[in-house]
Amino acid sequence: MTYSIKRVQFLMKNEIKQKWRVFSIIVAISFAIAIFYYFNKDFSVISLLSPSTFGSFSNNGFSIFTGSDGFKFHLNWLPQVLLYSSSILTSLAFSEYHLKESATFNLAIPATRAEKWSAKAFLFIVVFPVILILFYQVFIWLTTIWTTPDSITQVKVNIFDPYFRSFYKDVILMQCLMLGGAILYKKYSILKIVLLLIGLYMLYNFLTIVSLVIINEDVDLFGQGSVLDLFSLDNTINNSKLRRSNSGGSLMGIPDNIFMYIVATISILFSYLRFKEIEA
Amino acid sequence: MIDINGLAFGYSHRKDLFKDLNLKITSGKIHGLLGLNGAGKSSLLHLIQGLRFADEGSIKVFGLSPKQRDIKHLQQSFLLPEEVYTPDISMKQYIDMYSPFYPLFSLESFLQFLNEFELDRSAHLGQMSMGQKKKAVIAFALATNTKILLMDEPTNGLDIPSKKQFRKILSHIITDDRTFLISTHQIRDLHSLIDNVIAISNGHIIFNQSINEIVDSLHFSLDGKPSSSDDLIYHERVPGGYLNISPSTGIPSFEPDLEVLFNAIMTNNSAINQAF
Amino acid sequence: MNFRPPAPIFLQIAEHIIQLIISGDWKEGDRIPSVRDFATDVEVNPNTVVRTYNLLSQEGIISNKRGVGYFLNENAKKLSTTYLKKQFINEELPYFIKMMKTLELDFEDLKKEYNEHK
Repeated sequence: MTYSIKRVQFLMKNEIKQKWRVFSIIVAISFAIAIFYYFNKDFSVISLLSPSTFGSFSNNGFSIFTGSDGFKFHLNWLPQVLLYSSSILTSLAFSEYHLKESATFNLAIPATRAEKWSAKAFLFIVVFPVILILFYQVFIWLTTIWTTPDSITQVKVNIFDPYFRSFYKDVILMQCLMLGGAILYKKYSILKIVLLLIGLYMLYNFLTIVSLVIINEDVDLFGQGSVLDLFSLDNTINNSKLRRSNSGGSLMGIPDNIFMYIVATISILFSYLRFKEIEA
Repeated sequence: MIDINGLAFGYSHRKDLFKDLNLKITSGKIHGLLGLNGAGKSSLLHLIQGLRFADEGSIKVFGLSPKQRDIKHLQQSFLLPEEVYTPDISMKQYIDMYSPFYPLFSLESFLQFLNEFELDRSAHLGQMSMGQKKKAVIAFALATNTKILLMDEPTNGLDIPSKKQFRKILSHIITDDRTFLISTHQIRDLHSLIDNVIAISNGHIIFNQSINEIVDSLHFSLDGKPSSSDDLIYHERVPGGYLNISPSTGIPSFEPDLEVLFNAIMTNNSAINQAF
Repeated sequence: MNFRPPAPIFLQIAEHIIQLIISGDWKEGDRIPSVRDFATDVEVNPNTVVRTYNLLSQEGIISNKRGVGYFLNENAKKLSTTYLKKQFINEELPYFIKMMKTLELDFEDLKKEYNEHK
């Protein structure tokens, strides 16, 4: 099988040339909405409205930046905004293959299916998120330069801070999921993929409870953590919520987040297999 | 070069567009693909390019299955759709972005073709009319120097001088190792170029003959009335009287009018094919 | 009653070339345009021009020097006239005669017209 890195580079370059406008617009709008929102609302509301994606990247520890003029700023929402905007972008990754004319054009470009797909995958899973994260870093630098801080609470001003590791993991997982959704759904793919995920999530939580109950005989269903908690979307499935009824000890069960890894892997495989079969 | 065997293909709304379609296309010729609206001309071109997949049967292009969209296939085959699509970029960007994928692309030819189509090389594709865009893409298609050129109604939307230039260019660039397959309703735009006529109807190839064979086998004559001869295959009213088609009798034949020939194929196919 | 639609393209081209030879625009011994150049010039398929050149070769009017191209033979003009005469007698004349019959013209009428046009 032929695989030319050079062609992949060309494909990525072409994609950037065609999509950088959409990319900038989505990021700019997300930022504008977020900035407007966060300057105008009480921070207590934020904690409710900015759930971490799958729970692993939580906003425990508000990172409030307080300027000399009473200016208050919550910085850790920024990665979230970046995550959401890059998800929107990735949900449009295959848009040109969903319209007859542009699909005809793009499918006929002489590159192998693996080259075309991997150019997409690399661009949307790695390149665009990296650009966004660098953007975040620049934003923080600019903020600290422009405003003299009176106090900074837990602000992570360095993108290499271990605090961000789980965030990066979330980003990659999310992009994988969006890539699958982008090829599966022609219209409103982001809405559909989110609904699909919620459905899958509920199903998974249900199955987890059932399996935990089967594996462990003494599950305290209504104790410390409740069954209902497992269905709240800002919680990943894990076995720490439910406890043993007699001892309160942890249950034997499933490692954290395995669900998202499985779904993301299926999604990424699916996007390739589906891409191979796409017709104009 | 292109070999189709027992092809079956359909859409959800039209299940049996092709059933057991067979077609062999050799190189060195300009093939004209004729058929009524909805006969499947465009679909056939899409299948050959690998943009649609056959339900049954096999298609081989350079011995490869188009479905694989093999790099060796795509580098040597260009499909020019009836309504061209171009990204919203300048012509220069278009060349920078897409020509590297075609190993035999010639910038020199491209610029020459643009010149012949009277297009400005610095123009922006997003600001062009549909016809200009089409000319730009035709110039690109011809400059890729692919062995196979599939064209769907290439002269639709072209102005009169451009049609002439298109014929000139095509007659210049056809070589023994290249194949051009042109689907068209505008047969009069291209009749001097086409040297093999393929007609498609009801899911089958119902006619496939070279112009030389047509000239030698069919007798076209213009008369004041339909010929009374028993072997008359077809006649059609024309301004000058009646155009009659009968099997060739060895007497000098006339330039076959492909439009009339097509009508004859559609109405009396078996008699036409018997003449060969 | 018959009219004459245009001849097949390869014959039209042959006649065009022959007219050029008879008029002296193309001279005996000259090299003539390559198949591709001629095809491009008149916007036809090169295979059509190949057929024309084959015909003219058979008639002895042109010949192919391998690797160099097609040339007019030494007696091309004479052969061209012969070809055109044959063409005229076999194809044009029958129509002409038919037309004379239809219009009930005789040779005397023709003679008068001929003298006027001379």
